[in-house]
Amino acid sequence: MSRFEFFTSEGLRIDGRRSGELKNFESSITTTSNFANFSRSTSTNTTYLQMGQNKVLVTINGPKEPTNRSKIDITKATLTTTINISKFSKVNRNTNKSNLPDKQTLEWEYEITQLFSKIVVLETYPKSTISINVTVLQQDGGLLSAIINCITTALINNSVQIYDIVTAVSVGIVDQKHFLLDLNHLEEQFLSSGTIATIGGSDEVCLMRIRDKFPLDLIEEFVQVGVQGCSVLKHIIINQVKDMNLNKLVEIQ
Amino acid sequence: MNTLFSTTEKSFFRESLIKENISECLRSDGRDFQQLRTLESYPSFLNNCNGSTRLVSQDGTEAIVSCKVQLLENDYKLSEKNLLNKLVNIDLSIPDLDNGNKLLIQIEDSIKNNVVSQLLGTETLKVTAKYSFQLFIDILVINCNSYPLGLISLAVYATLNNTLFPVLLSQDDDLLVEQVPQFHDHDLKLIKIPCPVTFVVAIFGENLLLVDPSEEELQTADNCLIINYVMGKKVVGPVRTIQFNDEYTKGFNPLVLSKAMKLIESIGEEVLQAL
Repeated sequence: MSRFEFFTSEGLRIDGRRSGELKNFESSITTTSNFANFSRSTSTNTTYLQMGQNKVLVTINGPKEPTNRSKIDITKATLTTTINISKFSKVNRNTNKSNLPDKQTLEWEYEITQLFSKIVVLETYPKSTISINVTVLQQDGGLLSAIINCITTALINNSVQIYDIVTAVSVGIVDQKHFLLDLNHLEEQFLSSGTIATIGGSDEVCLMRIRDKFPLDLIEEFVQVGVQGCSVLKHIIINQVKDMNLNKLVEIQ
Repeated sequence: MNTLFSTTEKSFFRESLIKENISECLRSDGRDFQQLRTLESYPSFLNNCNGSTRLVSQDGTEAIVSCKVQLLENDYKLSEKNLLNKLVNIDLSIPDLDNGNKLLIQIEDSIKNNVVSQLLGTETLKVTAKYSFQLFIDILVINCNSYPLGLISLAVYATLNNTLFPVLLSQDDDLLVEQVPQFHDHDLKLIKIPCPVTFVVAIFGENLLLVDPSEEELQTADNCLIINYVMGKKVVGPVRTIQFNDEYTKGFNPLVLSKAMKLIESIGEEVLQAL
């Protein structure tokens, strides 16, 4: 038993949420309308997502012509992802001198590229590249799910064609029986947990990632809780995107 | 950055700015000659840092600055300047550029010199006789479209003006007593660190000076000046020139220098108050 009580008998967690309650989810879009800027080579939409204390910025470049001719694919677009976790994102500053990403980040980059090359309708943009740049400003548990949700929102905001919305959520297990949705960093540190992503809020799991020791007999229930969380999140994302774009429309007019 | 323009485009930008009558000159984005690009500012938006700012410029460039404070034991062998160089740490990263890039090093150096020069001879960072605050200023530039020094220095200025420091509870004279300073658990106080703001001024011909030039203006300017401005003290050194193109670069009349300084002195106050 760790020194924290993660789930009290009254059904409350450390931060006062219920077991199946999601963190505060807020996304916004920064558009800089600058029609007279000739040097504008990139799209200038930045999507900012705040999921609990996770703060993530995503910019999407493209679809545009690739700089390197060898990267051209005649039938479809190529997708690249870069994740930049800033040094000040944790409470204690990362003292690592180099700016090179660590192994976990490289693994996430690969997984996210694999995931989204099935989600984006790449055939509509032949001979072009779409690059997704993720910047993490502040992290608190469930970072991977925040990144995936933010990329989905950014793709919609940038009007890149996608088949369906991908939502991700992290799930943890307490005392082999309670399932907690959308963990914070304390819970993530001490509990066995995993991330689940589904397509369009259905039961189709498109990404599952489990960290450290995990009781295999609980996996069925674990997936169920994750899928439910994802379908709730899908409605939140749809509503927020609608609101955001209504605001944008009002600003333009 | 590194937007390539064709010769025709460049000469079009150049011709619209080189005219005999100044009132006929037009900037490509329609700004006034001494007008900065519009900025959106979000102060203190990261809550695990002591101070932070997000500035979004009109052309889409975003500068995110965070400042973290740590405690460091003074090294008495070091001179004051070397100690300050150790206390102020600047780390700039632009995702497209790799770590040892000359542009990054030049910007880091110029920001660091600015901060250190204002701290020399003051005891702003001193906590006790033995300990000082160490500042880690991390700068992140996303979507970088032109030379970002002007935007970064405005963001650093805004950050250092909203950085909160822990409040000391124990005695501040610990030379004779072995004691680690103790701080209040949650109370923080604001210590304003003076920091010069850097303005980039592009020179076109004898008369025309443009503040905060955009990429197309940098590519066609005769020369560019980097001028630092401090609240109250007006323009401070170092003033230096910088070039961004090979085609149009040429020398300039030294009288332009004093004109540029006067220009910055006249607009500096207003810019700093707006932040």
